[in-house]
Amino acid sequence: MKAGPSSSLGTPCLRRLARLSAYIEREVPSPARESIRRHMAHCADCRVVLRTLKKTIALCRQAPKIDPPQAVSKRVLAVLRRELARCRPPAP
Amino acid sequence: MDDADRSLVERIKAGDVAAFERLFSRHHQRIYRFAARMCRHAQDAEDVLQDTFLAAFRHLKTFRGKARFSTWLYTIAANSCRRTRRGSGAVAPAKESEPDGGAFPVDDWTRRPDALFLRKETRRAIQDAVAELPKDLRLVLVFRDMEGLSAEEVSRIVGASVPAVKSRLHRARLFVRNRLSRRFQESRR
Repeated sequence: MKAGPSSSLGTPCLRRLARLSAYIEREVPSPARESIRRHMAHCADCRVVLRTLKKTIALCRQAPKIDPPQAVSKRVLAVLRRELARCRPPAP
Repeated sequence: MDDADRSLVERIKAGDVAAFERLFSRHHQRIYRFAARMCRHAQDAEDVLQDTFLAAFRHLKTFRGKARFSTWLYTIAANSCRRTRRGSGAVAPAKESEPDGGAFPVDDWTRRPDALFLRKETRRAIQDAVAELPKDLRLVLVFRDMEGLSAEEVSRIVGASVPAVKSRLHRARLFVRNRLSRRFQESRR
């Protein structure tokens, strides 16, 4: 298949691509895995999809952590404390 | 369940409600992070954080300790996200998330300089793509690829089978991948 910036993949490619996440995570059993590997060896478009999908997964995993601003943690904790106080047993 | 969580839960069930503050301090960051990724709106994320811990406290008696405490909290948070304005959004046409959904960009942007992937615009492009995912796909991608949960844990949280979770995850990844491909193509023009 001709590689280009945008392409409609053929049916055999799409069938294999449906298992690409499983292939990346090594969850495809051996005969099917070999079949995908052989296809990748001669299909430039599918190799690009494989590489870009792996990179997408890596970028998602590296997405920056969003910590709560201190003011948010304090506000929510204050609400929680009011709720806890309502449920606390009365002092003897 | 983690021993520290187990001990805190037992203390709270026995009447030491102040121990709940320890549970809050141990888990509130991950719940906020999840909510911020799901809702992409600071006020919604704060609402989800508050709703999740209030609901967890009120329903702690129903927590049996079979799953990790964090998994139980994530389940409550996921339900809370569904009630927010943005958390419930499903703006992406489902067709685009399908592997057979028409044109597949095959530009190999992985060969671009590493600096591109560290840029704010790239991080923004990922956030945009995730936000455009239909809710059921977004939940699975955020839990699995961003929060690092196992497929089994995600399956318990979203109430779907493990194969269904994996199928949704694949569709979500392809959707994000296609969006990134288009963004990188545009940036090169």
